[in-house]
Amino acid sequence: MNPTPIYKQLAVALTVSIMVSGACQPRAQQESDASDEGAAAYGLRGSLYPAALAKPEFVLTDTQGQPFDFRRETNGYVTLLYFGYTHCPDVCPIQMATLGAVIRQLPPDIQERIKVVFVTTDPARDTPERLKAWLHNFDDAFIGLTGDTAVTNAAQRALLLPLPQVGPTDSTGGYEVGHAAAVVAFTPDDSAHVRYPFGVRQADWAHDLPQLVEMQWSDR
Amino acid sequence: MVRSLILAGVFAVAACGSPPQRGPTISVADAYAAEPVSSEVAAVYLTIENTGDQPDTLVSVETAIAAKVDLHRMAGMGASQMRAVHNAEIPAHGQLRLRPGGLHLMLMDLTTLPHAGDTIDLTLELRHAGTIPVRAPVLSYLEVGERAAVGSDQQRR
Repeated sequence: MNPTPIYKQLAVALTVSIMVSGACQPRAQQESDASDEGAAAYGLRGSLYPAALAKPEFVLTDTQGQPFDFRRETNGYVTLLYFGYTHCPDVCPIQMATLGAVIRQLPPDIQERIKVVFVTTDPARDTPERLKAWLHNFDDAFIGLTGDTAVTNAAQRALLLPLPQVGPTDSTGGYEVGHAAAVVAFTPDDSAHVRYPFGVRQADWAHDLPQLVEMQWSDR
Repeated sequence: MVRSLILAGVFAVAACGSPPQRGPTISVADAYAAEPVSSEVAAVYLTIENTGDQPDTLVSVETAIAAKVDLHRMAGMGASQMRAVHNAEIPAHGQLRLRPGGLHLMLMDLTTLPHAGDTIDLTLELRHAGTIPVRAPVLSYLEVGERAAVGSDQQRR
C-alpha cells in the first residue's frame, strides 16, 4: 500500500470540511481528525494534523506572576503545549512526568531547544504559586501559565481541542475539569503538525523529540 | 510485587439459588495506585473479574487514608471529561477494568500522602460478593504512564 497519495487526498478533504463546517462541528470530532498513519509517513509516532496549525497568540501569567507572551517566548522552539489542571488525578501528571523524564535524558543541545508549557484549565484554583509547586514534581524548567478563561479557551479553540468542562462539585468541595488529553507539539516553524494523545510511551517521545527539533516540513 | 489479592466472602451468595447456576464469583487483580502529588486526590486502578453466572455490582469503596472514594469515568474522544459512576456492574463471565485515562477510583482528601513503594489498603463492597480487601502498591506516575501506554495501544493503532 502506498499511503502518500491517499493521505494527501484525505488531508485536502479534511481541511476543506473543517473550513466549511468550522464552528458547527463538535470540537472532539475535529480533534480526532489527526492521524497516526499521517505522522508515520514522516517517521513520527504522534498523530498528524490534516493541515498545520499556527502557533496561537496569547499572553497569560507565568509562575512568577509575570506576563508571558506565548508566541514570542517560545518562538523557534519545539514547544509542547498542554492544557490541564493540578487537581487532575492521572492524565495530566502522567503526561508531565513522562515528558520530564524523557527530556532530561536527551542530549543537552536538544533539551535546550524544547519548551514545555502547561496552561491551566482551572484558573480558579491554579494560582501561579500552586502551578509552580505542582510542576516542580515533574521539571522546574516547565512553564506554567494561568489566566483568563476567555484567553485559554480561544487558544484551545484555535488548536481544535475540546473546550474544558467543569464537573459538579462533590461533597468535599472539590470538582474535576474535563479537558483535552493530548500534547500539541509545535516545531521550530512555529506551527503544530502533530499532537500526542494520552498513552504515548516514553520511548515514543524519545524517538520523536530529536526529530521534531530538526523537522523542516518542506512539503506541508 | 504483589499484584493480585483478594477473595473474601466470595461464595456467600452461591448457596442462595438452588438452580445449577453459580452466583457471581469475584476476584480482584492488578491493583495499583498513582503516587499523588498532593493530598487532595489520588487515583487507584484495579480489575474486578467475575467468573460466575450472574452479574455483581460495585457498591462502594473505602480506605482509611481518604475521606471519600468515588468511581470516575473519563468520557469523550481524547478528552478527560470525568463523570461519577454509581453502582458499576461486573457482568457474568466478565470484568470491570479500571485503568489510567479510563475508569479509576478517585481518593479524595487524603489523610496521609502515600509515596511510590508504599501500599494503600482498600475495602471494596460488592452487592453480592460482600466486602473484599485489596492492597494496591503505589507506583510513580512514570510507571503508571507506561502501563497506560500498554493499555491504550490497541485503541490507538
